This record gives sequence, C-alpha cells and structure tokens, in this order.
Amino acid sequence: MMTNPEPANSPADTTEAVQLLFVRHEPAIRAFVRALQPSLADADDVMQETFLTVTRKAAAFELGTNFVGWACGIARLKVLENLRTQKRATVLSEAAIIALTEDAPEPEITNDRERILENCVQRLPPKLRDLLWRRYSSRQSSEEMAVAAGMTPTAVRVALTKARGFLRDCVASELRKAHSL
Amino acid sequence: MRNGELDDLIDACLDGRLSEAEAAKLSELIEGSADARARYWEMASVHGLLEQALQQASLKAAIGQSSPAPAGFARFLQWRALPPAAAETAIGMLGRLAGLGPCGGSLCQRTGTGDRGRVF
Repeated sequence: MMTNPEPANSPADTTEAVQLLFVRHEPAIRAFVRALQPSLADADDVMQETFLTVTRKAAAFELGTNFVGWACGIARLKVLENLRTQKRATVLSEAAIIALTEDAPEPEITNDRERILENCVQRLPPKLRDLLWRRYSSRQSSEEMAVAAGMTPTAVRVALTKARGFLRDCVASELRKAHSL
Repeated sequence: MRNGELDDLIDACLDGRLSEAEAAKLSELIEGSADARARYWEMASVHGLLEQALQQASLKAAIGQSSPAPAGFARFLQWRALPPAAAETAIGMLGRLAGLGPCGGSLCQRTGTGDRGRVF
C-alpha cells in the first residue's frame, strides 16, 4: 500500500527551517547574548540552550515573521536563567538585564554599523589596531598583550578603552551622517 | 556621574572584570537611566562587532578565502600577519561553522580554550 508523501509543512520541515534560520542569524543572536553575558563560556551555554529551545518550540514560530526577535526573546530568558543559576555578584543584576533587553536596538541596525565600523577601524593608529586584533581575534589577556606590545597591563586596558571609545563615537557620527542624507 | 566613569564601568562589564561594588553601581545606573542603557548598547554593539568581524577575518585568512567579508578587515589583515594562535582559533571556528545540527557545531562544543571571555 502506498503511503501519503509527507506534507510540505510537516513538523520536521518546520524544525529544519527554523534551525537553518538560527544558523543564518547566529551572529545577530550571539551579539545580543554577548552584550548581556560577557563571559564567553556563559554566552556559549546560553546559545546552546537557546538553540535547543528554538528547536523544541519550532512549531510555534510563524515562518516569514521576525525570527531574530523571536529567538532573542528566548535568548533573553536563557540569559536570566543562567544569571539565577550562577548567582555571581560581579555581573549585572537581573533588573538591569531586564531593563537592558527592553531597550535593545533592532538587529537590522547591525549591518549598517558593521560596514561603518570597518572604515572607522582603518582610522586608528597601527598600535591600537594591533591591540584590537590581539584582544578580539587572538583573545589574548591584557597581560599577554602587555608582554607582546611592551606595555603595562593597565596601559593596555586604557588603550583598548580609548580605541573602543573612538570607534563608538566614529560609528555614531557616521550613522548620523548616513541617516541625514 | 561623568560619562567617562559610566564608560569605564561598561567597558569593565563587557570585559568581564567588574568588581562586586562596580557591578552594583552599574546595575543601579542601568536600572535608573535610559541614557545609561543607550550608552551600554552603543558600547556593547562596538564590542560585539569587533569580536565577530575579527574572528571572521582570521577564519577567512586561515582558510585562504580570497574575498573575505567584511571587506574592511581584509585591509586590516594586510598589516597583520596571522599568528599561530589565531590560526588555531580559526580552525576551531571552521569546525563550528560546518555543523548545522544541534550537536554538529558551535552549539554543542566549546573552543577548548576555557573561559576566554574574561581576558582582563
């Protein structure tokens, strides 16, 4: 006896589609999580839990609607769960995290910022770019960077703060210019 | 509070090096001020974008892709040779990107470098 072919929108199809959406939008979801969860290990845990929940609740997502917003809503709950589990006193309070998530910028803005950031990085002196590379690509500690750059760890932290401050102001200024055109 | 002090607290938070007193102070500011929250997101956005862009650049350099994106960091790579540690990180990320299933990639494994988010 012939069996009916699986319908196009079967639960398995929906789950796979939602998983693919997660992979495609992982950078935006991760950026949201990393802003609230500076520890890389905690952020990885939250991303993993978020993926599992997104997969489990795939049928509840309406394809064609705002996936990043939906996934970030789940990620927000996972960040709060992680916060309650870890009970660390050296991280933001639960109330602060909730307040931040309520004011989170739309992920769509990120693409503009990424393009502008690339140009702003080029305006930094080579030494600051080198520190940024070591910090964000090689994930060196301030002590490792200090040895490599012939600086003190405090000087490294000050220089990185200065570089990020410059980039923040540069990106904000360029965004204002772009939006005024 | 001066913006500089707020920025220092936010920087410390994003680097995972807040003290208990600083965490309480920053939490209080964020809870009570929309301006502080906006400032936090501005700085977190730069922090996150740098992390992603530079890791992506190192990955693309490690696998020898000729047209890396974001393009600006291709220029960034021109003055900076890829150190062995970055290549190692990039190879780990290549494995991450290869898997789509729940246990096929980054979602079920760590990079093996421990908690490197706390770098300071």
